[in-house]
Amino acid sequence: MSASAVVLAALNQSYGSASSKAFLAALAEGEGGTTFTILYGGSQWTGSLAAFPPWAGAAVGNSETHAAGAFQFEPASYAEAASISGRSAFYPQDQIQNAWDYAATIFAARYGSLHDVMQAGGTMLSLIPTYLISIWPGGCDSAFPSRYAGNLPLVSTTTAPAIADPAAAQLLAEDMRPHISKVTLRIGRGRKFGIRL
Amino acid sequence: MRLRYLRATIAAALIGLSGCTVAGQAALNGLPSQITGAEATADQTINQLILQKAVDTHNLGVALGQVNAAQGMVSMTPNVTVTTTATPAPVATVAPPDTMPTPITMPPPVSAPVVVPPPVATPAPVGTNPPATLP
Repeated sequence: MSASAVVLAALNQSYGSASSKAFLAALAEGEGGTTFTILYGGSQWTGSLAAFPPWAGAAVGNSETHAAGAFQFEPASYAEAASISGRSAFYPQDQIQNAWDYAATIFAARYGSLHDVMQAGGTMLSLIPTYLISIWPGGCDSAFPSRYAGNLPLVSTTTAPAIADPAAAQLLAEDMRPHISKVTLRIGRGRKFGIRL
Repeated sequence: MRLRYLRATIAAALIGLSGCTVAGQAALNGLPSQITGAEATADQTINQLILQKAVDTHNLGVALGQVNAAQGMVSMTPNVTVTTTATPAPVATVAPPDTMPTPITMPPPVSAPVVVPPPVATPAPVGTNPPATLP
């Protein structure tokens, strides 16, 4: 078993390590998130993905759920995740980023680096159910390690391209201009000046 | 070439006397081994001389160390405190929330696989769905 082809394809469009992607794949698989538009109960959201789907929800016993997407976020938790990532839309890559950032933040507060644990693998994977099952009862249950192992070969590490840094570009432009190299100092007085190495 | 800016604060300076021979012990990396009196004027300091040469040769890091190790002064002992603070290019970071996030109240997942036709794709507007960046 593995995550759905839709989820795997989107994960392989993301940048990052295979271990991080496999974590999310195992999470989605356990949550039954076969698509990025699936709603709890199996129906599909066909409206806009510019924000979390404002669907009516479904009854679960005496309560109600509004879980949606590949990682079955609830509106409140998705808003928390979006506050971390800065991505409030509900497109696939937004859900992927939010799922990782949310999981990593909670795991860090309870144990440590989620990425380090995923990179270590092996017996360390048992920490996922220990610390995240309360957040994702299906996706982070005791079967997580086996799902992770099944998904790991299906995702690949993708390196993000270098991000243009406007500040660095400005410094480079300044570097091309003639610079003043003479500084006059007086005893007991200080001077501040930028120096290029 | 990797670009880096340092902001150096010279806490104290020393005025070199015109006509006197001052020797600054320079270290490696191509700095001059001596700075003679001919190069020192009333308006210049040993620090400046070293810094001037260092800036010209782009070797300030070594020069700063040598300011404290200047030797052979005729009249005064160098008393220079140099501090540097590296100011690398700012790196955007995302701070985790200060408080524990509210856990998702999750109902049990869909127990049986639900076979549904693929939904009508709602493509993201151009430029609004950049790839996620994971570690």
